[in-house]
Amino acid sequence: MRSLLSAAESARSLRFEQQVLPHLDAAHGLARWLTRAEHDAEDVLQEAMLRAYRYYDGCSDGNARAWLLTIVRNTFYTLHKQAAASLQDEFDETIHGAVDDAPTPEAQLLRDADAGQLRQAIEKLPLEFREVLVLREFEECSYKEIAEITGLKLGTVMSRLARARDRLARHLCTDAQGEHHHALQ
Amino acid sequence: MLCNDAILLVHAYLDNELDAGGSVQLVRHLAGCPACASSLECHAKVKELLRRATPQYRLPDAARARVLAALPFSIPPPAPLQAFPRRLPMHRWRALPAALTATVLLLVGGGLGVTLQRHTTAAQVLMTDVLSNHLRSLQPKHLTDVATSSQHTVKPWFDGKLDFSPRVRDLDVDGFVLVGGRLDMLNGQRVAAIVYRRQLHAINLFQWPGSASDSAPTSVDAGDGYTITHWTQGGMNYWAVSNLERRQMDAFAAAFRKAAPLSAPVAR
Repeated sequence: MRSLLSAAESARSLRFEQQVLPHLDAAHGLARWLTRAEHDAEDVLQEAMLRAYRYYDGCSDGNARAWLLTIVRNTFYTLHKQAAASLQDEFDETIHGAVDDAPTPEAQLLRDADAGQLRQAIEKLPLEFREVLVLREFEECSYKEIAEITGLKLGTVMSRLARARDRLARHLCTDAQGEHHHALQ
Repeated sequence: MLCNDAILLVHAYLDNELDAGGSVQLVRHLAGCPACASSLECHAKVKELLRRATPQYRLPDAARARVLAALPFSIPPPAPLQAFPRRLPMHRWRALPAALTATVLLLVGGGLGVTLQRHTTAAQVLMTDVLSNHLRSLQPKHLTDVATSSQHTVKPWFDGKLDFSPRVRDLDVDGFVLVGGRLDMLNGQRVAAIVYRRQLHAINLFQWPGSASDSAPTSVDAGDGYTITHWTQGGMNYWAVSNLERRQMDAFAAAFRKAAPLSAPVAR
């Protein structure tokens, strides 16, 4: 009986290694963008991987990546309760509409930012915008996956993405003196 | 269409999430709305910036090791290069061809069936090994033997290590960044593994000399989100593998083939 159990356990470990571990980099990426600090990201990643291993049952629906990213996000909000409390209510957005009042900047105003400047601009975004943007741009999730991972409605995912990108574009603008606008956020 | 709705469609369009009907509506709106058209232009540029500069964070090797060490099971260490590659059991997708061959055996019987079975099994074994090598290469410090983004460094590195000269192409403009090369084993022989990255996804491109006739890329879903793409060109066998979606792997194969110099003069 014992050997049967351990055989089942090692088969489970092997499946976990094949299905879940390949997404470790993706999991770290999300944790890193959410926490904005490597040390905190490692804590979230560590806890998330332990949870993933505990709850892993073979990922019957097959989308191990989205499943793991959901765990990373939930773990982040558990470990960073303050961050969770600062989240905007989803309800608000259906009233306030999809776009901020300020217009989208013109493409010519965008400066040719390098990786460091882009990182800074993205990290300035409020959490609820940053997470959808990161899931889309870096984790390459579909809208449907983002909705699953965040538990938001598809329409909310779309409007948050639009607003996240509007703000990001404004962060990346140059004025006449070549300095960036900090007017928003 | 209201601008508030159009703006959502602009993003869906840029993200390839817009269906044909939505596209038609959007195009109609953009034609008469300079503000939304300008917004599309701006966001397309931001996306392009993000794609080119890739401001992502890499998981530091030390942190990776700590995270893996804390899991309640141990990952077997990478097999040494000289050994024949460790094969991961992939019963699920080995089962189908086996069942098919069994049917063929029943239908035709005798020698033909046996040949078919041997053929299918060889291709399946190779695919399993391609995927298994890819997974092993993702373990810490195992992805590249030579890490560089310059094709002029990767290519000479293989000199004297292989009895052929692998083809290395710069695919930056197509969004596939060259990260280095590695010696590997496939089919019981030494092969070149050229490693590219797209966002966080590593692509292993295995190559070794083979069939003289060119074949177009074919992609196979290898399960668990992995895609394997195979083609031959200019006497070289190519097997690419990653956890990218199929259409991105097709784009990778197309970009590599396009970047390759012609092996024979173009017929006029």
